[in-house]
Amino acid sequence: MTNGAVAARRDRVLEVVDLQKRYGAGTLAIERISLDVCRGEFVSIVGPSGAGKTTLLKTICGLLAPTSGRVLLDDKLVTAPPPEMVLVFQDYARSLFPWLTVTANVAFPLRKKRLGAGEKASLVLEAIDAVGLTAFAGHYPWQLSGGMQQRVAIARAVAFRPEILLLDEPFASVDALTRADLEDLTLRLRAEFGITMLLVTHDIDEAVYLSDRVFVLSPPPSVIVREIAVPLSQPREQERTRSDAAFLALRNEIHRLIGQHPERTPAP
Amino acid sequence: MSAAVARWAPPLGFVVVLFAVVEVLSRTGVLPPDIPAPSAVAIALVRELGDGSLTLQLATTLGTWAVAFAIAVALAIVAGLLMGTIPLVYDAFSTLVDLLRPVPSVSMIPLAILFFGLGAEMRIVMIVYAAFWPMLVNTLYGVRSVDPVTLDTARNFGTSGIDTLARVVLPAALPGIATGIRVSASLALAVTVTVELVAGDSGIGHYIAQAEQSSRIAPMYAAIVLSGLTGWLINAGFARLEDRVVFWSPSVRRSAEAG
Repeated sequence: MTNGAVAARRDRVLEVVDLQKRYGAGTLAIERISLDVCRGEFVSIVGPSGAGKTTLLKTICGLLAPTSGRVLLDDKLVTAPPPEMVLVFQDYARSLFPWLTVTANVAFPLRKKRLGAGEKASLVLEAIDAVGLTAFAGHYPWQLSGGMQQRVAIARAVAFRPEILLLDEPFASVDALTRADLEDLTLRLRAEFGITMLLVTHDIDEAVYLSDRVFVLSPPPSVIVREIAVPLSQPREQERTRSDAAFLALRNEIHRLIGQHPERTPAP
Repeated sequence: MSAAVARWAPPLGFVVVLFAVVEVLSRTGVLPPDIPAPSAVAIALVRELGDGSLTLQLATTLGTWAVAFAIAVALAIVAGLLMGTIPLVYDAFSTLVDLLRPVPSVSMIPLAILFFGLGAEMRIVMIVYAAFWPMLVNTLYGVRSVDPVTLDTARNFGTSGIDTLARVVLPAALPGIATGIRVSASLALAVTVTVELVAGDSGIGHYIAQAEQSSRIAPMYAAIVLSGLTGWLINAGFARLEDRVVFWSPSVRRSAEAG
């Protein structure tokens, strides 16, 4: 059975078909990428630095137009950022609005939603509570630590109630302890709100720890080198999961794949 | 308390000493009569403000300043937003801006008189012209420094163009706009006094010219001091406003931490 058939049976949310991205007339960032994400799934794309991971996510979420190929969300072609899909940027400090408090930042995208004021307020409160920042709701982002700022960005995305959350190296700018915290927070939010997650990262361990499936990316111009299922038990726990023999086998396999810079035939 | 003393003692002490020296040199006739004793200037200032002759001129100057400055700010913010957000508008006008901006506005006074005569209209046009450029350049700088990630964030949430302009671009550009307001407010006052002096029938500038012509030296100094104090107050007031409105801007936060 092909992957496509399996995915269809498992209720596919996002489908990326033969996506290619060239910057202007110049550099080819993404040669050809096809992938799919199923409802409720946690999928990671892991690749070396400079593999066009951010470009890939921005193209998937409609911020950039693909050079060729297409992105389908619930079988609808993505041409502009759809409300069911939200991107959490790596650079939280630049993504949050410094002139708004935590509450106002989280409430910002809800303006457009056709909801009553009370409903909006409770979405905001719930999201801030879910990331554990209720005590800091009146603070400004720049008064908070990096990890807390990224929590605000995640709360803002969660309050918007997307079907799928795209995470662009969201934990790359925080220290290791905060990072583990944020990883577990993400898993919790996924369970609590039923949000599908698509993460790009260069951190192999993080990809394996969080994901149900991992796509391994080549150096640019990027293609997918391998799709790897992660059959580790749920729920994941930092120490237990990371010392599991299956975890180590998977991370070593991905290390090898990324390390060997595989020979590739040029695209037809 | 002692920190405040340490901070203010040297500058204030210097001013007091300087005034005392000028006072003595002037009273003893060492200095020419064109440099009056500070006490005489202070007395003239209080007297002229008290009997209303200088107060009225100050009110006239501030009135002209306020009207012209408000027009300049409104025009420059609109122009800055248009140039900053629409590349075609920017490309069309940026060279013109670069050419006109460095022309000293005062050098345009004869031209303004030619077109608008000697009345209030000419004065307003001159002040607007002078205040417009720093306001435009700072607004433009603010708009163009809006972080692309911030804009991507707004787009990502499906924020409309108008909403993005009003709720993302404008607040993000506010530090630049606030700097523009502060800088051009002071400049507008200077140009107001200048045009009153050159071609006015009222205002502090006119008063200074009149006092000079009738050799009323101390009142002339008093009017100069008054325009200086007014400029200082305007600048300090807008600086305070700036700190309050854009308290979140990294530059304001840095200076707050340092101070």
